[in-house]
This record gives sequence, structure tokens and C-alpha cells, in this order.
Amino acid sequence: MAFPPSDLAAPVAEVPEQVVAPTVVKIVVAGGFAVGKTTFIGSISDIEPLSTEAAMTEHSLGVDDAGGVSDRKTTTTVAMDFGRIGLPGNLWLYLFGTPGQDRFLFMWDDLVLGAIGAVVLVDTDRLEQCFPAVDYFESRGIPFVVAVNCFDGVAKHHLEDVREALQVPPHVPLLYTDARSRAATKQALVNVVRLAMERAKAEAQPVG
Amino acid sequence: MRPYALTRGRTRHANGASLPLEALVQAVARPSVSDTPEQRRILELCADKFESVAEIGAHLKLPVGVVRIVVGDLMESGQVRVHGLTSPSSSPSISLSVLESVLDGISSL
Repeated sequence: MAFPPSDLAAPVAEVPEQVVAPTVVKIVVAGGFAVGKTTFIGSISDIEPLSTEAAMTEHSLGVDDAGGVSDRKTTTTVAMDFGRIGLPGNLWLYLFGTPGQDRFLFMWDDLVLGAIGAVVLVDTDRLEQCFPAVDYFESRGIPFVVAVNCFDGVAKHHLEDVREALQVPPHVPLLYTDARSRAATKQALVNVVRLAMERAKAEAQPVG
Repeated sequence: MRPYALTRGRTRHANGASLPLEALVQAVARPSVSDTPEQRRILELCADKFESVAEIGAHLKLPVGVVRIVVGDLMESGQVRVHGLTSPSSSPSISLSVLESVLDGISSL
């Protein structure tokens, strides 16, 4: 049931209590530091990408600068960028960018819980940066696509070369994107949702 | 796990700790004098509209961990309603019909 915008309506004394809450869904946008995650989110978000902070206690064990072994708890603040797209049918799609450093992988579980799937953005000049993301989603069985960000619209590498270099399994879609382009971002998201649908349909099949 | 002075030293809340970032908060009461400053700010922000946990954090410049705990308290006292909660015990899966709507929606952008 849809109502027209109420700009012209008489002043309403009481705001109706039961405005139906939107259904919320999310897609995670992962990739290395400065690969263009926030640009990607901003290219399609209804709102300017926002940043929120998650503070966490990290238990770190390692060799400190002085050469000694350190075992200490540190509180780290991680910034996450995100955007939101309103879709017909009272749906809100959130796009959450992962914090850009590998050592924050442990907090991705929080981001990923309940997500439709993920886009792994790849910069072909720094392919190795996206290994952790690919491994993460692969190991957890989360539907994801690998989107090769073509800066200046120039594809420097063939997709199959990228697939081989990243050792991305054949079932993972690989595509070119341009993080600044709304149309390209849209296409990447469409691919994630299609993949999630295929997965959901396959899981619905009775196992023989 | 997450010690904060703002939350009176409590680090975990039965309701709030596991709130998804995208859970939508709707204020159903006006702020009162007995609310903490953070509770008041959240009630004001979420008056007459839905704001996600992540957006509350961004707008009020509060870490997500703090937002979760304060919203958890507000849930318990019945001052907010929270929508889009996923069950922590079962792995949440999105229905095909929702996925279809999302696909159609994105395609039509």
C-alpha cells in the first residue's frame, strides 16, 4: 500500500504510530587499503558515506620495536565507512566497507553476519592486498564477487590473468568495475545479489 | 570486552551487545530528565524516523559498542523499538523473495 507524498496534506496532529519499518539488508564491500571502497559506496548511496567507529580491545602478541616479546592489550579504534540505498518496497540496502587493514579481519564477522554477500574490490597494481578478503569470504561460504577497479576506465589486465593470480575459484564471478561509476557499481551489486539467489535456490533443493 | 565510562562500566548487555549494525532504531518515547545524555541524544535522533545502529554512531560520534549498549538499555525500558534483529543462535538467511526485491530494486536504479 503506497501513499502519495503528503506535502499538501492538512497538518497532522498525531503522527501515526505504525509506520512500517523498512526491511534492512546489507552487502559488504571489502578490499585493501585505499582501493576505492568508500568511492564505490558513495557512487550509489543515497546518503553521503558516513563513518562510524568501532573501538575494540586487541590482544596482541608480538615482537616490539625494542626486540622484546610483548603481550599486551591495546584499544584500537577502527573506522568503517558505509552508505545506504532506499529501494522500492520499503527496502533499505546498506553497504558496509570493511576496515582497510588485514589485522582487523576478526571484526568482519560482525559486519558479515546476515549480509547478502560481498564485493571484493581489487586494484591490479596491489593484487596481494585482497588475498585476505578472498580467503575470508571463501572460507566462510559467503557469496562474493571480485571486482577489478579500473582507474581511468582502463583495464590493465585480463580478468582470467587476475583470476589465476588471485587463485579465485571458477565459481566466483570476476568483473571489471569503476568505483566512481554508479552504473558500474550497480552492476557489481546486481552480480552479488544474483549469486546469493543462485546459492539460496541451490540450498533449497532437496539433497538426493 | 569493551569498557566504557559512558555505559557506567557495563561491558555487555543482554539486548544490546549483539545488535546488528544495520538494525533500525525507532524512538517511541520522548527523552526525559531521568535519561542519560547519550540516551537523550539517541531518543532525539530517532524521533519520528528510523536510524540504524551504524548511523547513530556516525551522527552522534559514538563508537558502535557504546551505541549498542545504550540502545539495549532503551529497548529494555521500552523507550525504543528495534527492527531488523537477526537471531543470534541461527545463522540468518535472507528469503528468496527479499533477494528478488533487492535485485529488482538495484536493477531499476
